[in-house]
Amino acid sequence: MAKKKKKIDILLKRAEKLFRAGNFLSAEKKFEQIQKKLNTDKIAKKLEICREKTRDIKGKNLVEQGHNAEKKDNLSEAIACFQGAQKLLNEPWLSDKVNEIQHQLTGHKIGAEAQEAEKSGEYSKASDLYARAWKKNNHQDFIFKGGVCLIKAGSYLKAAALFEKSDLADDTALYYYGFALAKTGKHYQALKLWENLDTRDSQFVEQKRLVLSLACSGLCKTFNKEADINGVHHKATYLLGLATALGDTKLIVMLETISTYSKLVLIETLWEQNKFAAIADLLLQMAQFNDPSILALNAKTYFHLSRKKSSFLEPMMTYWLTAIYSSEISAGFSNDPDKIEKIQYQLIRFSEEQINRHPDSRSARYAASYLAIEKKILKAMSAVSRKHNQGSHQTCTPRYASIFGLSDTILDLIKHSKNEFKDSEHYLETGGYYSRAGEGLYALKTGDVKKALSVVETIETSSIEDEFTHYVVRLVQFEFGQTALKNNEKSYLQYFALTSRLFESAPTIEKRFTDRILQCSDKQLLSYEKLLIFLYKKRPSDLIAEACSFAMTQSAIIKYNQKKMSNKQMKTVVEKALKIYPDNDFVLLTQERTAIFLENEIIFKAMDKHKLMKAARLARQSIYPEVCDSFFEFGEQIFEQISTSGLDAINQKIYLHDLLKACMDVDPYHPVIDSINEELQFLGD
Amino acid sequence: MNPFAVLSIKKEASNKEIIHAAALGMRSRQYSAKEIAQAQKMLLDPVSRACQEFLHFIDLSDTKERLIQKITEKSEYPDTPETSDCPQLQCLNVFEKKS
Repeated sequence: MAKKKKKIDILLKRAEKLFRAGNFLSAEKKFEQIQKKLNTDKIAKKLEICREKTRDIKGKNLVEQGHNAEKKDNLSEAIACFQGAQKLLNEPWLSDKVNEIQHQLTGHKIGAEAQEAEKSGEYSKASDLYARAWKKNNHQDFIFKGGVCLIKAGSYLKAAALFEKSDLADDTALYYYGFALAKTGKHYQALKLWENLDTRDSQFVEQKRLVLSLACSGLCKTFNKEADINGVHHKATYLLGLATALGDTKLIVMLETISTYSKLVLIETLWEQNKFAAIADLLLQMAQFNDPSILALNAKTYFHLSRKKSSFLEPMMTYWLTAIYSSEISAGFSNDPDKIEKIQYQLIRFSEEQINRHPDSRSARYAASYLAIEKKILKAMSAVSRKHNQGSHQTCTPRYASIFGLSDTILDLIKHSKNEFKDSEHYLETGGYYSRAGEGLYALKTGDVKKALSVVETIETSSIEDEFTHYVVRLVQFEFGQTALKNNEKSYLQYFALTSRLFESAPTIEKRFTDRILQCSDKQLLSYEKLLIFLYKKRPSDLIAEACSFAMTQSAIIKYNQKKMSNKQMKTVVEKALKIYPDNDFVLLTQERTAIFLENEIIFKAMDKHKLMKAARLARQSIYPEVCDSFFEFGEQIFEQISTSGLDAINQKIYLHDLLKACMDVDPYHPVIDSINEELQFLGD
Repeated sequence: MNPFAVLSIKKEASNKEIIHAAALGMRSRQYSAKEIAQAQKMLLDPVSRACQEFLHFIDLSDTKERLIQKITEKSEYPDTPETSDCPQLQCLNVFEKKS
């Protein structure tokens, strides 16, 4: 009996332990065993608690299983679980949940039916079923499938409307929606939608190309009838971007034209409103459109803008002269050529006034320089064009020609009109502005030699056979070299490596340069001497030879005067200079003077040492009368010295006889001889 | 200054109309007498008037006409009305969902 009681106690202890641990299911089993033996109220209460807790746990487990089944789309099992839980738990939401899943299950069933219909090719029926299924469970996939079925059934408008309601979660949905739009003629919208599809699939690219051409075709039909010109402009710009990306040249040309047209319509409105900045923005977008009316529009727009802002002066100058010299534009001024000329002159004055409004502006300075340069160029080019009876485009500024790719045409015209220019320099300079090195020439002529050099340094001249580019490169180097020389840069000679060829092609530059040397002041000549010797070695022309020989002689004189050169050294230099340019009067004169000076010096030294006969012989042999004159000057000085020396009469007579002999040897009729004889008689000779 | 705007006249206004507009302008006092006189002077001188016409008027009609002509000439793309089908446009399966 005691053994039996002990066994129940152990069982009770275990049951209590399980109860405390919250393991109500196991505790319930143990309490049931104990109750069978003991049948107490206490155990009955415990059992009730355990059963309540267990029901709760089972119910929650079923709810969890139901959710899992729902997630796995196993709706029947989910319903069973939620219904089981509903029996165990007294929670009203479970009833709603069961109803909702049952609704969905119906939707799925309809969906399955729809799928069957789709498989058997009954697309309209399938799309209806999908629509019903979507209404049952609001599943986005049904919309998508319904839309696809509508497309397959050829109901594109309905398909597009259905896709519009969908969330377009993926590329497939985007494609189909776009396709439906394209099929209903909304090509532009389709392309906009498809821009989110990142694929290079060739079939798709081809389809895009086709839709693009359809969109373009649609735009072609409506562009000039549309009230919303801004809309046309945006569409054309967007489609143009797409056509460019797809490399469709035909469409690019077409869309560019439509885009330009819409811009012109917009510009007309903006012009009425004096919105010149907005016009300039649009003009910049059609910068490659070469047309007289656009040229005039550019010129006028920047003219108006530059009134208040100097930064617009430079773009104004890009168009201004080209516009007013354009034969097509100027023909609109008048039929009378004289009146046209007056109008052109006045319009140039207007531009000058505009520039002068901004006296402290850098842009204004540049614009003024451009105006000065380009006036001359256009004058020359107008004359050339008239002679060759060419169209208006030949009369344009170099910068305008560069923008519109007209430079080569103009260079050809210049080449064929070489004789129309004043000289080779005028010819080469005009061509130089239109050449590849034109920017360098502009910089040079506007005083920015450094920029000019940096521009020409980027040009690979070895492969160029263009005389104008070569001319500019050589001219810029020549001018920069002179600046380097003035700044005492050591390696300045490198910039004159091509100068001989520059002088060869444009002798007027050589003439101006050498003339300047011949006018140079002393100090400047010292620096030019080395350069001229360098140039003479490369090009021994008369002009360079004269300048070189002049600079050598002048430099030698300066050095001699500064006692940095001896008489003999100077004589050698002068001889060299004369050899370089024998007709140089200045050198000849210098040589003569040097020779006289040298002979005088020798005579003076001989007389000083009382070698009077040697001095007399030298004076007699000299070809220069000045040397004899000097000899007698020295003779008179010696005569004076003897007379006032205080020597006794005998010694005076000895010296005077020597002097007389020497003087007689040079010129027996010189007046000093009479003076000496008179003195000798006075001394009692 | 835009003399045409000051005198409220069109590009084609005759000298008589210019003088008349100047008189009206003086009465309306929208612009000063000096401005009106200046505008009148600018437009009565043929050279000055031609310059002012160049500065203040644009005529893009010829260019637009040329562009329309160019577009019409080059428009050789499939003729498709807004809602009709284009037979070359076939639905692709490139984006088909993988099952």
